[in-house]
Formats: sequence, C-alpha cells, structure tokens
Amino acid sequence: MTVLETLTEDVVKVPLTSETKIEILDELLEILVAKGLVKNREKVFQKIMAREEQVSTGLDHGIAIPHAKGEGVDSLVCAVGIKPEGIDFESHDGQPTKLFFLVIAPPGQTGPHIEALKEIAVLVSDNTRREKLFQAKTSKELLSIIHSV
Amino acid sequence: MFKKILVYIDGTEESLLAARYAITMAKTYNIELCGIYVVNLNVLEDLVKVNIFIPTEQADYEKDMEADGQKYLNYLKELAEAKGVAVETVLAKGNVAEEVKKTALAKNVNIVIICQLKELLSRSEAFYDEKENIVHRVPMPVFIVKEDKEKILNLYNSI
Repeated sequence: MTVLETLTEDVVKVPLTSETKIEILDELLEILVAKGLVKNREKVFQKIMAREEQVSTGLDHGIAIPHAKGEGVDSLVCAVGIKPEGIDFESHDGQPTKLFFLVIAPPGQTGPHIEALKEIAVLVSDNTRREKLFQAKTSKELLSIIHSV
Repeated sequence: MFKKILVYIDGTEESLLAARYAITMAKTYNIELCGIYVVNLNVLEDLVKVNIFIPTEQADYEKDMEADGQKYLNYLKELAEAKGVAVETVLAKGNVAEEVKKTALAKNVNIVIICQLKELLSRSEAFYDEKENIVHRVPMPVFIVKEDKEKILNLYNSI
C-alpha cells in the first residue's frame, strides 16, 4: 500500500482554519496526534520547524510538503489539508499556499518515506489534477480525487 | 533451466514478502539466490530538483538509505539462513532499474523477482515507478509475486 492509498478521511481536513504558517503546521500535526499516530508531539513539531527554518517546504503552484523524520512516530504517517484562500507559507514562487501534505517518518523507513514524497510530487505535478484538488469542498471529496485520479 | 534468481527488495512489506517467496523458490527448486537493494540516487536528485529536498537532506537521506539497505539485506540473509538457503546480497547505488539489470547480467541471473506493482494514478506515473522500470529494463524474465500475505507466509513456513 502506498501512502496515498492508506489515507483516510480522519487524516484529511478541508478546510484548514489556521491563518499562519506555524498554525497550519500545528493544525496538520494535531490531526495525526488526535488519531494517536504521533507519540511525542513536541519533538515532532521541533523536527518539522527545524526543516522549515532551513528552507520553506512551500513549493510552487500552491503546494507545500512539510516533512520530518525521527523519533515520535511508529510508522510513516501523512496528514492532508486545504486552505482554500491560501496562506503565506514562504513558497518558492511567492504565491499563496493552499494544499498541504505533512509527512512524518520514523528512523529506518527512509525508502518508504522517499517513495511517499515522490508519490505526492507526482500527484500534484499535473495542472488539471492540482486544480481539482484545490476545488475539493470536503475531506471526502479531496480523498475521492486523490484515490480516483 | 533456472540456476539463479535475483530478488529486488526496497524495504516495503511487499518486497519482504517477495523475498520470502524467492527463498521458497530457491529452496524448493534448488536455485541459487541473490538479493539486491538499490539506494535510489535518481529519486533523491529529483526531489531536490522539485525543491522538496534541500541538498543537505539529499546527503542525509542517502546515508540513511544505505544503512536501511544494509539492514534489509541482513534481514533477507536471516530469512534465508533460517531455511538453510545461501544468499548473496548486493547493495548498489544509482538508478534502480539500471542497477538491477547490471547485477542480473553480471551474476547470470535467470529470473528477477519483484513484488506486486502498485496501482498507478496515471500512465505518466509508470515512468517514475521503479518496479515498472525493472520490468521494462531487465532482459530476462521477471516474476511478479502477487499472492496475498497469508499465502506467502504459509508457503515460506512450509519449507
């Protein structure tokens, strides 16, 4: 099973309600914490922020893929969210970021972690597909697009 | 007819099931067994190109992948030795399909064994899928292990 295949509605949030980059990261992490997938919230959040402090994971075309690896999770986990109006995520193209994939992997699962990042990159590389994802109004709809494209 | 098989493992649960299947084949038909893990340098470079990774992460993940690869190959050895099957392991770095092909040719392998292919989101995704590329690139038959987990574990436990 790939990371996108294993996504369920309870790790997808539409819309995200936060207004800033840090809040969005915290909101995405909370999705995983609420599901019991993150054991050490503080440590994981520090890892995510340490990566963001080097260079933002806000990419072009409204996409961000914040990611971290380390202790705090037992297996590869992913949360997805949409902020329809977009926020300033210090993206590479300077445009507002709307669609977020938070990926966290434990040590020793580098291969699956890399595969997950690649899979997401492929998913959002197509303009038409990306627009469809942005227009999802509910978690169910977003998941349905991810699973059916 | 078949003297040597090469199983490709990538650390996924499915590939470790394929490893058990390969061990079962090697033991049942008295075939030599090789296992390969490839540190996928191409995907790391691609992730830097699309700005998902920064160069320091690329180096960090490459080291981790090498360590993971050794761990998975050691696990393959344990699984094989538990069944009295000798296994030669190869830890390669580079383009996955190309490294599998090179090793398969260098070791005169008759069949390459891979785990089940994932469902692709689009035709273009096939271009990026390592196992799809192995199927297309290697010049010898490729055996795709499609049985479910329980069946494979039963087969492995039965030898």
